[in-house]
Amino acid sequence: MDNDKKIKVLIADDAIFMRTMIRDILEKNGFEVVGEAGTGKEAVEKFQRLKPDLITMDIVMPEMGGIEAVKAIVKTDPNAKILMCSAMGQKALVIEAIQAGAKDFVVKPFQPSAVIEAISRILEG
Amino acid sequence: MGFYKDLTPFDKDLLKELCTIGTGNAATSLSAILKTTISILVPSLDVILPEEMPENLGEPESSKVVIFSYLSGAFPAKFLIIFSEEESMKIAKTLISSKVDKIDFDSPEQEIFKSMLMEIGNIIISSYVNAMSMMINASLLQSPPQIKHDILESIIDEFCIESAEGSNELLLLKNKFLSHGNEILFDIIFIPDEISLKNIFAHIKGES
Repeated sequence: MDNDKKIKVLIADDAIFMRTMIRDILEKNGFEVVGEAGTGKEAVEKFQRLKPDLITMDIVMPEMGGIEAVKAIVKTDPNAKILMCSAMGQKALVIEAIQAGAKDFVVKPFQPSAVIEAISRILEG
Repeated sequence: MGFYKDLTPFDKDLLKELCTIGTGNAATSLSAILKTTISILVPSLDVILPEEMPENLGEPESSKVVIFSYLSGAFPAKFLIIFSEEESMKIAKTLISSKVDKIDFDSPEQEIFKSMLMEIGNIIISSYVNAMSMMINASLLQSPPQIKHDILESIIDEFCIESAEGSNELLLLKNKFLSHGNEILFDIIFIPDEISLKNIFAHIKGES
């Protein structure tokens, strides 16, 4: 992937281990990780400041949960591309996240290919 | 108080089934994380007194790693996952090729190790929560996982004695996960509030 055209991604997850894992998946597939957030609040703030092309969002995070963060982000940018990455795969939560404005949902633990495929779907959509 | 002791064989069977589904989901998740086959022993569900906890979980003075999370909403409960030091270090070696000789969660060098254990705990707890949510058809709210390294006696004092307020009994779900060739053993303790059990039974028996 040409360096200038790299897709910029922000990773929001309270677990540094999971952020490291997602970063590794993304960088190996040619994406540029422009930042990481450990709370929903931080994710909203960094989304506005770093203006990534896409954000991966955990649901259970301290300070502000992922769904609340999605709502805050979509309020300022209705076209924001958000991929939920959470172990909370409850149907109602998936629906709530999508209704809040997330574009796709990947349940942890995931295969790297599942994350890349979901991102591709979002970017193509 | 003796709510748990009043559970009928049907109630206990129902709870056990709920836990078995959660355990099955957790094993699938764990298998995906650790990239190995995980088998489970049939979970046991016991009503015990707080002072009986040590004999069910190990020596009171033994050091353990506990990952815990709280459920709120219609289903208040506590989930604890208890690893021995050896098991947690073994997982570190398997998953992040990191050799940990002595656990010190305050050390910056163990930040990834600590985070990895918390995330494993989070994924396992979510497996139970997702299964329960499906069975009672309700969204369950889960707190971010937290982790502690302490002796078993202190863990029990903090999490289990406190739960026994208003009742002198605890509901202990014990699970053993086994991965042949790379054995992983740990316990999951599920401490539902009395109201949670009432909600579950009411829903499943069609009373809600």
